Amino acid sequence: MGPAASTSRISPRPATPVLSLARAIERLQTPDVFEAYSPLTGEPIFAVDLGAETRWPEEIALAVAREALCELPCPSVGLAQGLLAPAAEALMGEFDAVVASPPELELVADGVFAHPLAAQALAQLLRLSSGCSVHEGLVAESLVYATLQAGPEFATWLAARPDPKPRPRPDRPAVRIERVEGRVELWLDRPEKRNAFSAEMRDALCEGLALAVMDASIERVSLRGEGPVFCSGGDLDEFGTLPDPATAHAIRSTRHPARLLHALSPRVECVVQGSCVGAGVELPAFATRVVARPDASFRLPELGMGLVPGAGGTVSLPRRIGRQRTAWLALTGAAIDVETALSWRLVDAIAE
Amino acid sequence: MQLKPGTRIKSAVCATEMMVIQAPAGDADVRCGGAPMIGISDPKPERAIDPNLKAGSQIGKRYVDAAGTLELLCTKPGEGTLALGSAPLVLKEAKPLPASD
Repeated sequence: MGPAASTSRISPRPATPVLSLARAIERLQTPDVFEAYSPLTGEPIFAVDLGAETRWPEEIALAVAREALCELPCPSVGLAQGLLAPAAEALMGEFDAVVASPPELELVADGVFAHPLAAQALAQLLRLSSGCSVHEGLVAESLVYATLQAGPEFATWLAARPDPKPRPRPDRPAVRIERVEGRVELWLDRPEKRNAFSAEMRDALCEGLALAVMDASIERVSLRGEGPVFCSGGDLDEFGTLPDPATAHAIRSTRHPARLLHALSPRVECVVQGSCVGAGVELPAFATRVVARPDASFRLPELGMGLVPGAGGTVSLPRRIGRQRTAWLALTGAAIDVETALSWRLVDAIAE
Repeated sequence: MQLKPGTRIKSAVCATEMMVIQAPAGDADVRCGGAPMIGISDPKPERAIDPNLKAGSQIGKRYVDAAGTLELLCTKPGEGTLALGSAPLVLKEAKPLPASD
């Protein structure tokens, strides 16, 4: 068991050590940097103040530092406030996340210190999939997700969760399909569960999307959620019911709405409202157009469960908002409002 | 009627439209609501649905015959019973998979 397995943020954690840029570049040259910045043997986060420094490092040092940043076994966070150091511009793109103030840095660090193994895997996954096709990225995400499903942080979250209550299964499909001529509307239809994304909903959504893939006469697909919330994320009642992580990966490789959404994306519009969580953010981001109601908000909660986004979000979000903002959302678990989502291009329009 | 994968057919007596996923070789007597199904752009005959053959179909679902030689995907739902000859087609559910969380 690593030092990792704690979901509690009540116990005080050490202050996040922040290196100056010059010191960080120096540190990245040393061969022990991987041990020094690891959730197992050192610091779980590599935080660097990108301002204040005036010296320009040697080109060779900069190149080595850039490469080491990409390989670091823990998330790297750049603090970019005020005037940036000349060398900061050259390195900024390699950080896993960039923050604008010390409090924002602590927000990211809270997530990393609480779940260092998941935070590490997330940073590595986002670095890896930034060079991948959508299909490759989905495979990588599922493999990482499976790894964490077998880890201590997820086990701790599961053990602390109240037992799910058995609920009657409604006698109607989890996704309602409506068709008018060449237009199909797919309605997530479990408003009494805030459209929690269950296996039943996964299967029903895949069925509706497969119809549109097969039938080229369907020109427009509109994905919507019944009720006040588009989708509140994975169905927590089902978490921990996986047969085993290897089989769970095989299930995601067999039937995954993200793959179908991507195949259809030029034809897909998504309308979202309320608190969009996890899959409720990740799946819409595949659509070519996302329209949000003014009350919509967006967050990725998976790190808090010792996991990474697993509905395709590590593939769809970076394509809309970039790798660093995706990492910010996943590491902080914080919600962003609809205006922020629009300015980031997570959504394309706000409409009543 | 000769069917091939991808062929689109419709009911002569209700709103049902289907896409052929798999078809038997040769002529297939595919019916809906008691009447032979017709090509997607054929004119609809003036004909009423058999009131005893109104099991209906659901959009996005697949329907198969007992032998598994014919498989149709419902692209538009209707009220007629789908059949190969006089044998009703049955709903084919996707293979169940558990949650992966």
